[in-house]
Amino acid sequence: MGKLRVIVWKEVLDIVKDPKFIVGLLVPLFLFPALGAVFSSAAGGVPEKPCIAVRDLDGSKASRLFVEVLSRYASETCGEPVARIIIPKGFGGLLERSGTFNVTVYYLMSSSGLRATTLAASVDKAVKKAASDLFLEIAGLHQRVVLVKKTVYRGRVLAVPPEAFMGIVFGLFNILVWGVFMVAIIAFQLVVVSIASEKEYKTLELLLTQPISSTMILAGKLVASILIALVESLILFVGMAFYIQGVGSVSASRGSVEASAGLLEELRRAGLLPTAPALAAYLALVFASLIFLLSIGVVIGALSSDTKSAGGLSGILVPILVLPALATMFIDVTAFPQPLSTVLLLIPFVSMFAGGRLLLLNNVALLVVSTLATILWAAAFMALAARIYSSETLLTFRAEALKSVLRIYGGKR
Amino acid sequence: MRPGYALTVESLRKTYPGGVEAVKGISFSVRRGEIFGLIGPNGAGKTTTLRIVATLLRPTGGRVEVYGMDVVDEAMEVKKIIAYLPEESGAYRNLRGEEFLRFIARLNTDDAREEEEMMEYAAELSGLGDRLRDKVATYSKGMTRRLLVAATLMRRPRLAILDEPTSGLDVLSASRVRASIRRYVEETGAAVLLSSHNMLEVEYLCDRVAVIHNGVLVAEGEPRSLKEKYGARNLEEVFLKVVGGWES
Repeated sequence: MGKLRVIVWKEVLDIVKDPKFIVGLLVPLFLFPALGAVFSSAAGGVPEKPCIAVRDLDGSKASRLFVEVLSRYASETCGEPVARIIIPKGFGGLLERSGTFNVTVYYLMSSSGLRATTLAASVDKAVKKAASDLFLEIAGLHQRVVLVKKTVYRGRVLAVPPEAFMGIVFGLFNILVWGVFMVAIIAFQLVVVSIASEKEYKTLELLLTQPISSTMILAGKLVASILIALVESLILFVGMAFYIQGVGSVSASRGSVEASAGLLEELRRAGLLPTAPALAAYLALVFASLIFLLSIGVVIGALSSDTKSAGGLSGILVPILVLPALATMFIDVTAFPQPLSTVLLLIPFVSMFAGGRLLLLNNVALLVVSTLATILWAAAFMALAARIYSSETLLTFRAEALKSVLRIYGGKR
Repeated sequence: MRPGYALTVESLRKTYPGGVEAVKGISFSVRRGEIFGLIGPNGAGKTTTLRIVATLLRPTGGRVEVYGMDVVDEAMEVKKIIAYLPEESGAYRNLRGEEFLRFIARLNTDDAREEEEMMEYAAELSGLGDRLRDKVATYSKGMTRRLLVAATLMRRPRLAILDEPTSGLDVLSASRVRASIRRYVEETGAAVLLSSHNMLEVEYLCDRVAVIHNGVLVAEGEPRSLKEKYGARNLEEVFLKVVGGWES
């Protein structure tokens, strides 16, 4: 373990002392909050009730009723109106004859920025709600109709609307998986660069003749990369949290926090929140996926003559690995017929992304199967990586065939 | 193993996967406390031979022993008593010189006192003084080479394998490195196997020399006896006669 610590110490030091790395590390801390602030100030300041001026040219009972119900959602007694609504002559007659009506809405746009779009959307919303209320009033349904929405997911009834449930699925689990994925990709890049740069800066032979096994060197590089990736991801998340806070301040409605808490409670009641065994199985799956990706990184780094060619190879291989996995964000492969679903869950990364949904269902058995499959994949690639790293292939491999591929891929490279 | 020898190379062959036969059955030995020079034109097989001795490459045929240990079967044990300085070698650019040396020291010992001794010895060998506190990225080529020579010898290897140790150095730096190598051998009684294109350097440093050409040893002996044998004034003339004669 002592030698492993020495290798990790050197790797961490070598990476964090690179000015390019430091700049890259700190950029999200400034960039994301700045973007959030820009978004917030651009779209912010939208009142709960938009200021709408109404001109009633009809003066009928129906048109007066429309103005009354509109006042529930818009305000007339305000400063500068953002829209002007004209109720035409014949409004009441048309409504009586055909059950329809028309009004003209002039959107008074003072700019073409995000705030103007948000204000226009709030006017739309107010008019649609008022129209809906008008029909209910005319029909004599004075009490507001309450639509009770419930979601049935895989036989489990949730007292929440489907959009709220999907919000949790996308918001919680996909963000969780994306967070893990971000760590994996950062660690992958660090490993590839770390190994390829040993060749580029001619330090590899000196390192390989030290009294330490190549497996230990490899382990040191992997551990250091994971550690740095965790720190980098944490910084990235802090930056993104500021961004989301900025954006969220615009889009969040009152009571959304309470609603989220209620939703989580509802998920817990329906058994749709992960249990400890499911979480443990998923963490094992995530770790195995990380090791799988890093072992591919070692192979790429070992077969590259410098960081540039390593970057080129990564550019080809990573999308091949990641694109099928990304598809699982939008396609629920766990809902496929059992044999197909199981086969797909044996594929590394696809299983990590889809595993978020298995976590929701607390499907420990399938999570364990996916984890075991990924461990096998990871072990096979890690053995290959260790074999390449401990053999003279590392020193003598001339990636002519790969370079040809790169030339085709990169044009004039 | 032949007694008194630090290195024995017997019928060594190396063919690369592409079919290139770099070394074609060479044999030589290096005694303890001896500096042995391997000279030859580019592509002669020098670096391949040094890399095999340094456990980096596996021989296709023949046998190489360092102090009686086989470089293939007992590679880890061999690594503990050798040090290799490649011809084209670099140091970690983002580390300071002293951090780089400490990294090498820590890979070679777990003992804090021994580590400090290595650091002191390396600082003395490199002659870099306060510049050891600067990042390697700020070093000139000569300074980097001096740092690497120090990192190689700080471990006090029983066999130092030096591929072009003064490559790219100015006259002053090269002279300091040569003096360090000579002093190291005198102080420790270790053996040195080195390759160089600089015949003056080889003549100054080496007790014995072997000329390798197209993967074959074409001459071997003490510099003085080789000069006498080929009627040459210096080793460069010996080299030209041997290699030229072989080619003609």
